[in-house]
Amino acid sequence: MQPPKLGRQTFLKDNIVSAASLEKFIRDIYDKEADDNPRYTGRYFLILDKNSKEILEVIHLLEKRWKLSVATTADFISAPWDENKLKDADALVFNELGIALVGVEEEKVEQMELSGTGFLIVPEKVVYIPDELPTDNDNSNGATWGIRITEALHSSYTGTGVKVAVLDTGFDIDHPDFKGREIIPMSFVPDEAIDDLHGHGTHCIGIACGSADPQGKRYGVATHAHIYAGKVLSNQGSGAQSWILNGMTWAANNGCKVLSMSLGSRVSEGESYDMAYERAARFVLSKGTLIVAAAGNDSRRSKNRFSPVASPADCPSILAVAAIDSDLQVGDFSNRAVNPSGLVDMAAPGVEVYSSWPMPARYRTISGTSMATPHVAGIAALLFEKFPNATPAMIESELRKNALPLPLPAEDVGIGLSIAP
Amino acid sequence: MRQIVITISEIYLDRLSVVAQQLHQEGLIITHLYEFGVIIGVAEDNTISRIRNHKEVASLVEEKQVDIPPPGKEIQ
Repeated sequence: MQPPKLGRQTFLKDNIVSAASLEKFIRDIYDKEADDNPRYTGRYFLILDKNSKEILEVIHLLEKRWKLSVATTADFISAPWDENKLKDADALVFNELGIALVGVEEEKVEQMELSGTGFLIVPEKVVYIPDELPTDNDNSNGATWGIRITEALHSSYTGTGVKVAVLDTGFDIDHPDFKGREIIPMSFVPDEAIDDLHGHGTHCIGIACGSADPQGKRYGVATHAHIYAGKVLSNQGSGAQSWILNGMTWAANNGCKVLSMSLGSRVSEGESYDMAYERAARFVLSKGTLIVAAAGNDSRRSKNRFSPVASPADCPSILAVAAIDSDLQVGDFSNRAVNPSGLVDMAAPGVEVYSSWPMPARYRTISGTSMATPHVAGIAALLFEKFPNATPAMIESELRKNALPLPLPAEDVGIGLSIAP
Repeated sequence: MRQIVITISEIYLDRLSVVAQQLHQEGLIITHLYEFGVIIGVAEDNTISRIRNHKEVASLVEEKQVDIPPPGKEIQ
C-alpha cells in the first residue's frame, strides 16, 4: 500500500498542461495561504453502509473484482501494529469496524466509487497535533498584556538569585522555554512524580518565573528566579491539606523568598479562616518567605453572585490576589472580601492570560485568580532582588506602595493593581 | 475514622511533643506533626469529641481537600 502523504504538498503532473491545471494551481495557492499542510493523505476509506455487506464480501470484492491485494487487521492480532508490513498490500480491512483503507491510484478509486453500492468512499484525513505555537488573543508583540500592564516588561529586575516556590500540580521540567533554568522539583503527592499531567502548575510557574516564547513574546515576570516547583495537587487537580502544609514547610526551609499558591477551598459566608493554614503561614513568614494565594473563582458577578475569598488566601498572614482583565475590570469569577478576615489585598492580570503549558501544547491562554497570583509572586521576586535583606513585611509594604489604585471597590481589588519595581 | 487537622494553642507550642504523645494515647493516629503546632491524624468519632475539649487544642477540623478545575476549563 502507498504510504500516507504527510506534511508536504505534491504538485500533480497536470499542473503545467492545461487551463484546468492553471485553475488548480491558483486554487492551490489560495489553499496554501490558509494552511500549508495537506488535509488528506491520498488514501481512501471504504466504509460499509450498516448491515449492507459482510466484511468477507468486501474482502472478496476488493480481491476479485478490483484485483487488490488485501491485508486485514486480524493479521496483527499476535504481532504489534506495523504499517511497514502493509507496503505490499493495496488495502487494509479493519475487520471489526467494517472499514477498509485503500491505497491505490485515484483513477482506480473513481472506478470503485462508480461501480459499487452499499459503501462510501471518503479520503483519509491527515491528523495533526495542535500547532506548537497556538495563536493568542493578545496580539501585541513583545509581551502579554499582563507583563506590560504590571510594568514587569520595563523593570530592570529579573528575580536573579531569588528562590520562588510555586505549589501546584507540578511542572513540565522538560519544557523548552525553561532550558538552562535552575529548577528544584519536589512532589508531595503520593505515587506521583513532579510531571504536570494537569497543566495548571506549568502555567502558573510560567507566569511567575517564565520568560518568552520563541517569537520573543514575554509572558513571565521573574525571568531569572530560581524555580522551586512543589507538587501538592495531583494530576486530577486535587490535594490534601497535609500535602499543602508539607509543601509550605519545604519552601520555607529551603530559603524560598516567595511562595505562590494558586489553589484553595471554597469558604462560606461568615466562616473564619483555617487556623492550621494561618499557623503554617506564620511559620513560613518567620523564615523570611512572603506568601501569596488566589482569592478564588467562585463568584459570578454577572449573575450577582459574590463569593468570599477562599482558603487559604483568607488567612491574615497570606496575601489574597484578585483577578482583573485587560480593561482593568474585575474578572467575573473573582471573589470578594465578604468575610471580615478574608480581605482582598491586591489585584493582578487574571483574564485571558497566555503562559506555558506542558508539551506538546507548549502554551495556553486561560483565566482565573490562579493566573493573577503568580504575577504578584513574580513581582515580589523582583522586589526581593532589589531589597535582598528585606523581610516579607517590608516587601509587602513595597507591593502596597507601588500598587496602582483602581477606581474599583477595595473589597474587590484591595489596594489596586500590583506594579513591578 | 476521620482525617482531622488539630491546631495546638500557641502557649503550648513548647510542649508540642508532649501534647502529641497525650493525643496519641487517647486514640489519635498521628500522620503528620508540624513544628508550628499543627497535627494531622485519624481518629474515631468518640476520640474526636474527647480531644476536642483539651485546653491545648485551639482548633480541630476535618481535613479539607483542595480542588482546582479540570485542565479543559477556561477558568482556573
